[in-house]
Amino acid sequence: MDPIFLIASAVALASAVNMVTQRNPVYSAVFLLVGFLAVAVTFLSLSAPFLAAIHVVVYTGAIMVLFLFVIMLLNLKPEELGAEYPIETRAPIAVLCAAMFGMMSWAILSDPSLAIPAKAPNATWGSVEEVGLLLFNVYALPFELISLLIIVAMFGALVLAKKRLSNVEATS
Amino acid sequence: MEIESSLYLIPLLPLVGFLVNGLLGNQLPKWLVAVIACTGPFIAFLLSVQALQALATHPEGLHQAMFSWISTGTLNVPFGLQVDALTAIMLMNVTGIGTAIHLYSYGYMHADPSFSRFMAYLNLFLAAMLMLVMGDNLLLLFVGWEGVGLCSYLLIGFWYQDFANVDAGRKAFIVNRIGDFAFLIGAFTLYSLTGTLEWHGMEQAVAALDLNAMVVSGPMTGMPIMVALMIAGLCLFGGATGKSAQIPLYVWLPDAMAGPTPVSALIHAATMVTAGIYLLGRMDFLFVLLPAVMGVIALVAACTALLSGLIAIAQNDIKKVLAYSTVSQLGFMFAGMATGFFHTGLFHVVTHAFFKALLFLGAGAVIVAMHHEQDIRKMGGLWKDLKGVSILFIIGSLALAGVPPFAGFYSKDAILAAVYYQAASPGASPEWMVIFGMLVFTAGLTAFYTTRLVVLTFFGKPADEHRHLHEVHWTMMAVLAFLAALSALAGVLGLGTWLDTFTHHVWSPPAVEVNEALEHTAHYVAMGSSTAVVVLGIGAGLFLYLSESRREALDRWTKGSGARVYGMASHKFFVDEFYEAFIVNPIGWLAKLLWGVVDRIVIDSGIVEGSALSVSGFSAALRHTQVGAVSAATTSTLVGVIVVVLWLVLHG
Amino acid sequence: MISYYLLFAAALFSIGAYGVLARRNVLIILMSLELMLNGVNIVFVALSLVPHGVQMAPGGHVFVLMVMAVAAAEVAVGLAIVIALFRTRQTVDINDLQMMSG
Repeated sequence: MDPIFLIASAVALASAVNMVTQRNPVYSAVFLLVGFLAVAVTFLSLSAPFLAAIHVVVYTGAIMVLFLFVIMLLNLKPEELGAEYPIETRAPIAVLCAAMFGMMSWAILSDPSLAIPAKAPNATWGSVEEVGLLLFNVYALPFELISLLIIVAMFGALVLAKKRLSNVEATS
Repeated sequence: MEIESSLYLIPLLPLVGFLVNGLLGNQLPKWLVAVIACTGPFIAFLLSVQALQALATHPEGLHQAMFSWISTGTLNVPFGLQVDALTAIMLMNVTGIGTAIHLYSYGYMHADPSFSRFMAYLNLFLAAMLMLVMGDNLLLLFVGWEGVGLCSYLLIGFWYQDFANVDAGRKAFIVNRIGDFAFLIGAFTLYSLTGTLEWHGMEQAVAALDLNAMVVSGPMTGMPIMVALMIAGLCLFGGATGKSAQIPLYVWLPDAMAGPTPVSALIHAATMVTAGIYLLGRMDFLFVLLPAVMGVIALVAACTALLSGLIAIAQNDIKKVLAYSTVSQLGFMFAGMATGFFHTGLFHVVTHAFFKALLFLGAGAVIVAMHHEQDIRKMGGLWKDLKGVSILFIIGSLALAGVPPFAGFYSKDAILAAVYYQAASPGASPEWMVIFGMLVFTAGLTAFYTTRLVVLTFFGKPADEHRHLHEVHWTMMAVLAFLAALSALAGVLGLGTWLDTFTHHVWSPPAVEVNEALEHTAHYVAMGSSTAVVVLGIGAGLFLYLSESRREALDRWTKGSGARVYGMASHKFFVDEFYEAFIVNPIGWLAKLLWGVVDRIVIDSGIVEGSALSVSGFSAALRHTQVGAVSAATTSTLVGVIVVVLWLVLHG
Repeated sequence: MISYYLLFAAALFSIGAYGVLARRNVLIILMSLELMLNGVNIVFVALSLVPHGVQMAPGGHVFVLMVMAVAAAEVAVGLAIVIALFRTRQTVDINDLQMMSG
C-alpha cells in the first residue's frame, strides 16, 4: 500500500466532507482547493505525472480562480446565503449516497481482476510524451471537438454573464 | 341461350326501381313513381316467363355465374344465379303477383304522402325475394332471406308515427332473428359436413355421406353423421318457422298486419312467408334422408294449422282473420312438404298466393271503402254497395275454404292425400294419422271461419245505415279480377298435375317406390273427407251467422257461459302472454340484471370510471413529487440510476 | 491495489453527490459537481493500469484531459448562469429557481 496514496486520500476525503458541509462558499472553495491538490497527489501515485500537473493547472489554476472570482463578484453577505435544508431532508440524502457508495464498493470489491497492484507497466507511463502522442494521433478528432466545445462555452459564458446592452444604456 | 346470360336482370330491375324511387322519389310526380316501380317487376316477370320456357329445353336448369363473392382459404362462395323448375315456379309467383300488387298499391296508396317510399320498399322487397329464390348457394339465399326480413320490418312499421306499428315491426324483426339464428346454425352445420354452400355441391356431398359413420373433424367430431344432419335439418326448419310463421315463432305474423294492406298481401301472404317452404324444397335432398325430422315438421305444421285455425274463428279484425288463416295455410304447406311429395306443398304455395293475395287485396278494397275500418262487426251488408268487390272476395273465400272446383280445393286436397298416403303406408308412424285428422279438422275450420268472415262482412244488416262508401280505384279492381280468375281456374286447368310433371325431376326421389294403388285410395279419402268437412264448415257458418237471431244468441253465449272457451280463442290462446311471461320478461330481467350489475357496476364504475379514477388518483399522488425543485429532480434521478445499476449488476 | 483507488474515487463521487443533492447554494452545488468529476477522473486513471491483453496505452489519461476540458467549460457556463440569475433574482438558492414547478 502506497503511504502517499493513504495520506492523500485521507486529506482529500476530509476536505471533501468539509467542503460539502461548509455554510460559507468561501470556506468551501478553500476546502475544495485542498481536495484538488490531494487528488493531484493521488494521480502521481497512480503513475500519471502529466495528469497531476495538468490537474493542478486546470483545477486550482483556472477553475478555482473562477469560483473565487464569482464568489467575490457576488459578494454575498451571511444573511444573503439563504437557508439550507433541515436535517430531516439531508439525512435521507446522506443515506442514499451512502447506499450508492456501498453498491459501488460491493461491485469493486467483488471483482477479483481489480485486486492487483497499481503498478505502471513501464517507466514512461503517463509521461508528457506518451500522452501527447496518443492525444494528437489516436484522439486527434475528439481533441479538436473538445476545443470547439470550449470555444462555444466561452462565448456562452460571455453572452450569459454580460449585462444587456439596453440595461447598460438605461443605467448609464 | 339468351335468357341464361340475362338472369341477373330479374333481381336487378326491381333494385334499380328501388334506387330511383328511394333516392329521387320525392322529386318525381306520383304517376312516374308508379310507372318506375311497376316497370321493373313487370319486365322481371316477362324475363321469368322466358326463363320458364327455356327450362323446357334445359331441364337441368339455367345457371349464371357472376363473380367470386367470398374467397378466403377454404371458404369459397360464388355469386351466381340459377333457375330450375322450383325457382321458376317461385319466380312466376313472386314477379307475377308482385307486379299485380304493385299496380294495386298505386290505387291503394297514391294518396299517401310517403307513396314513393312505399313503392321503393316494395321494389327492394321484390329484389331481395328474387335473390332468395335465385341464389345458387345457401349464403346468397340468406342474403335475400335477411333482405326480405328487413323490408318486412320497414313495411310493417311503414306508418311509423303510430307506435303500435313500430312495435309490430320490431316484433317481426326480433322473432325472425331468432329463426335466423337457427338458420345460421343449420347452415354452419351443413357447411362443416359438406364443405360447400352451393346447392349442387351440397347435394352431391350429402349424397356421398356415409350416414352410419362418425364426423371426423370440426366441432362435431365423434357425432354420428346422421345426428349432425338431423341437427342441420331441424335448425333449418327452425329458420323456416321464423320466416314462414310456424309454431313457435308464428306470433309476429298476425301483428304484421299493422302494415299497409298491399304489404300484407304481397309479403305476409303470397311471397315472403313462403320462403321457408322454398327452403325446405331447396334442401329436399337433405330432408328425404331424415324421416324423423320430416315427422317433426309435419307435426309442428299440423299443430300450427289447427291452433291458428281456432284463433281465426274468434277474430273480428278482417285482416287478423286472414293473417291467422295464412298461418294455418302455411301449416298445410309445411305438412305437404314434410310428406316428401314436395310438389303438393309447392302447389299450395302457388294457389294460396292467388287466393290469399286476392282476399287481402279485397279486404284492402273493403277497408278503403269503409274509410279504414277493419272491424267486421261494424261492416255487414256491403253486398249491396260493393257488388264487384263482394263477388271477387267470395271467389277468394271459396278458394280458401277449399270448395271444388276452386284452386284451393285442389291444392289442399293434394296435401291431404299426401298426408293420408304417408299415414296409410305400411310401417308408417302413427303420428301421421293424427296429423291427417288435425289437418282435415282444420280444413273444416277454414271453411267455417271463411264463411263467418264473408257473412259478417257482406251480408246481414249494415252496422251503419248512413255510411258513405269510398270509391275503389280501378287499378285495384283490375288486379282483384285478375287474381280472382287465377283463384277460380288454376285448379280446373290442371295446374297441379302440370306442377307435378314440371318439377318432378327437381325433387330427390322418395326412399321407397310410390304405391299407385294406395295413392289412388289416398286421393279418394282426402277428397271425400275434405269435401265433407268443407260442407260441414260452410253449413255451420251459414247456420250460425246468416240469421240475425242466432247470431245474437251466439253473441250472448260468447259473453255468457261460453266466455271461457271463446275467450281462449279470441285471446289467441294467450300465446303472446305466455311468451311475454316466460321468455320476454325473464330476458328483460336478465338484461336489467346485466345492466345493473355487469354494465353499471363492473363496466361503468369499475372498468371505465375506475380506470379514469385510478389514472387521476395516480397522477394526483405523483403530482406531489413534481415540485419543480432541482434537488428533488436530481435526487430522483440518482434513485433511478441506483435502481438501474443495481438491476444491471444483479441480472447483467 | 487498484480497488482501493476505486473505492477512494467512489467515496469522492458519493460525497460530491451528497453535496449536489443536499445543498441549496448553487455555488457549492457546482463545486460538488467538480468533486464528482474528480472521482470519475481517478477511476479513469486507475483503470488504465488494469492489464487487458493488448499493448497498454494511457488512453484513460487522454479521457481525463477531455473531462477536465468539459469541466472547465461547464464551470464557465455554470458560473455565468449563476451571475445572470443573481442579477435578476438576487439569490443563489436553488429552491428559488422553481420556475418549472408543477
